[in-house]
Amino acid sequence: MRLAARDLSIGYRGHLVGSGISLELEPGEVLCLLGPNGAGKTTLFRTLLGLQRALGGAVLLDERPVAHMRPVEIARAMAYVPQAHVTEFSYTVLDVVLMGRTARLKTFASPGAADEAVAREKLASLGIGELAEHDYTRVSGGQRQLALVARSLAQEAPILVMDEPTASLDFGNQTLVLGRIRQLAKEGYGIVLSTHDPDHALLVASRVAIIADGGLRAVGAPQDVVTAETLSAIYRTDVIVEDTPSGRRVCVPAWRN
Amino acid sequence: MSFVEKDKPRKALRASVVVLLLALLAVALIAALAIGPYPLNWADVSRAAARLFGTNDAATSPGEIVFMRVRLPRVAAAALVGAALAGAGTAYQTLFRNPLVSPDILGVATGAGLGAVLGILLSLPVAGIQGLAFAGGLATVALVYLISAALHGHDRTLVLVLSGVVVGALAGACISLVKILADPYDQLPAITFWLLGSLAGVKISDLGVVAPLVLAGLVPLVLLRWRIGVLSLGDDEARALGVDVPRLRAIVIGAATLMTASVVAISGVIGWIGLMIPHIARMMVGPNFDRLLPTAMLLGASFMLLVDTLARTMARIETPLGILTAVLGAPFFLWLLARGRRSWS
Amino acid sequence: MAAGPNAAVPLYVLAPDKMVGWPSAPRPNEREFILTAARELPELGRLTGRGDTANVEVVLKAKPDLIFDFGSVSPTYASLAERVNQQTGIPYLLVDGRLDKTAASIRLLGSALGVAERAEVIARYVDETEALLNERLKDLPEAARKRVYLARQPNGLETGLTGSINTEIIERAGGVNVAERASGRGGIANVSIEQVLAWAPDTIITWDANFFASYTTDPVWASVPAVVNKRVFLAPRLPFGWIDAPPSINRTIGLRWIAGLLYPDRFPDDIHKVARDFIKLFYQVEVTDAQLDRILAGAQPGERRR
Repeated sequence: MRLAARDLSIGYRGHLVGSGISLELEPGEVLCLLGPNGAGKTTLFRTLLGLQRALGGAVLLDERPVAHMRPVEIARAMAYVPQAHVTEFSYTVLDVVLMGRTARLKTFASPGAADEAVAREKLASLGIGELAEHDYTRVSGGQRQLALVARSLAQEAPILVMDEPTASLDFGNQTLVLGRIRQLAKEGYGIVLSTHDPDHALLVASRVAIIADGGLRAVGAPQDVVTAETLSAIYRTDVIVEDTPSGRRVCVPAWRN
Repeated sequence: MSFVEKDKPRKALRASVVVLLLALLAVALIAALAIGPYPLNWADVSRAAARLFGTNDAATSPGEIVFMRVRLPRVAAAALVGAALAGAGTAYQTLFRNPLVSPDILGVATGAGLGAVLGILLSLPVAGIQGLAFAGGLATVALVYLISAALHGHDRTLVLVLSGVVVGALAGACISLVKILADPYDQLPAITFWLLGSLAGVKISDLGVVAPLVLAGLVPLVLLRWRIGVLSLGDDEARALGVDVPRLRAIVIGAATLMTASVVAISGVIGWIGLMIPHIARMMVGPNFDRLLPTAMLLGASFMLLVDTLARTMARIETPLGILTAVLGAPFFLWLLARGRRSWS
Repeated sequence: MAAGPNAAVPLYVLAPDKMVGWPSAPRPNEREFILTAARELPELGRLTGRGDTANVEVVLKAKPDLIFDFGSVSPTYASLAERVNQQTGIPYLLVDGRLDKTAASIRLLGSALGVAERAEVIARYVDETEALLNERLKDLPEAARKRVYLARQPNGLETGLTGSINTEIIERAGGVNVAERASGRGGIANVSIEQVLAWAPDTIITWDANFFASYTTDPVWASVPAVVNKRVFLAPRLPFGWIDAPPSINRTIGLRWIAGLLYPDRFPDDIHKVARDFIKLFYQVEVTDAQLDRILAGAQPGERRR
């Protein structure tokens, strides 16, 4: 399943956030979106998912416009991991993950034992299997984030759209999630995620897109796009990009401790 | 950590809760049938049952008539009204993601009240008053829905609620106007009493009309129960999970409104049940809509049976149901909250 | 001017030429029984009591010399009277409207309005009616008293409790109101049909046309003794309600009517004649036989039901 954005204009009624955005996502790819606060990453994701109308251009899934697809069809193709939040009611973690199965269910059906098994398996794959019966509103922010990732996996959609999936996670969980993302890409999922940390892009991305000042500034391989000049420009601070002795690339601020 | 855990034994507990509630309802039904100002005896009941099965041709005794045409319809109506209001309240609370919502949030009860008081003002027969009440309830919600569709807002739910508040306030003002225009000797007491709720005059024919309507509203809620639960995550997430949010929202509103309008037409305005019962049910079985709906409806039916039995036996004259539901319900609810139950949402 | 419908009736009866308006305009079917001149008087609204709709400025514009109210003289109403008096500067007369004080109240009003002679005539009629009732009911044994249920509203389930202003006429006419109240004076209350069955009244009186039209089709009401014995009566309402609406001196004819219904052997007089005389005396209009039949439709025993 290929996701494509063609000359997309995004924003709200009367307020243009970005324009001229063109992207492609192939199966097995990890596309990382970098950009400063307010650049429009969340708006772009919502437009890609069909949650809001594009102001211009089109979003296509295997050349089918998303605007012509029913919500359940879109959900079978794309899964969304929003930034974590608190629900009004105290569902269990398992309940929340089970909701990811909705697109796979017939209209009048409720999840069955098979669905529950899938949900539990996804939870376990992220290391939070024992939280299944816990109150979702009472676990930590990071655990909620992991649960949302598990939910998107339970949806079994070939494309994952993740809005800052590592935002509230501790270092260990961050690497866990990033590792899973790489693994999923190897299994054939297409993943687009946004992140504030350029190192994450360097770690997992097969391609990186920079979104800033109302449009895409650059798209390409990480080593080509994640450069000191680009980062310093978009984040308005001096950044150094270096290779470590073991051959990994990292970004650090220009000043030192 | 244990206070956060909901462990496996809870599942078994939840199943037994439903069984318990069914048993409670059965007891309430039997008790309600047995209590009343007219002295009934077993002979009457067995004669009535025999007549149902066609094995009794003797003349109908007054006791039979009281049982079959007075008490039975009234008890059945009480259970139906309680279940319908509780079910509608549950649906609305899930839809609007807010445990403080009542079935009247979009104005159906106020609109039905306006229809009924207009009927009383125009000196219509009972069927006319009921019909106007039903129509008033439906028309009010339709108006709210149209207004909210015409207004462009980012948060559809908020726009709906605000429209409901505005239209409900207008309908309430109209009710007050009707009260002023009504004959204070004749119509005003009737209006006041209707607005407080009563099942005193309910007949079998009423049930014949209302029960199918309530069922018609209930069926979509039951069939779509899983997706309705998903709605409570919020419009965006629900949509991303594959739920057609605008369509489902319209269905839930239509179903809950149908259920509420049809029972309010025969019982008058009865508050508090639609708000409180879903809460208590949530405390018992958690927020999942597919478990919550049957639990709330069973609880609502039993509670209404208790209230109606009191209403017709506390004194020689009828006590309005709306008063009793508040007087009984509010302190009980307060007590539940004060016990510091872990989750009431 | 009359402060409310209760007061409008005595005012109209005693001194129709002194009225400046009605609290609520006469309805179309009532107008033919009201003096031509009085029919066209403007509607001024109700000043006190439940649902006061009169605008004080409207009252002042009508420039009455006296405002008159008839009914409760409790401190609440007395203070309301004072307030209106202070607001408008118009003298306010508040007279006790209870049934047993009718004759005295009429005489009082008559002297206040300067129509003492007419008042005397009316009061005497009331006195005679009272005397008649006392005379013919005095040796009525308790067990022979008829048990009456007053049915209000289309479903017939609203009634007046014993001692209420709406049903005191029943008790005065020698009947027993089945809707007893535990203590004190009652008001209006709703009951269940089961309760009515338990009370088993032998007579039902109503002035709700909808109920009167529909009770025969209801199998539950069919079990009530009153229905079985075809003793359900529609109280006349023209030109002013005979038993209520408003509960004022118009009920004098209602007393005769009910007494005749309950104890026909003690009150054998033809109600047609009594009614015609009453209407001529009180309301000063002649009624034809056809009009009388219309007024009394459904109000007599043995009438063929539609």
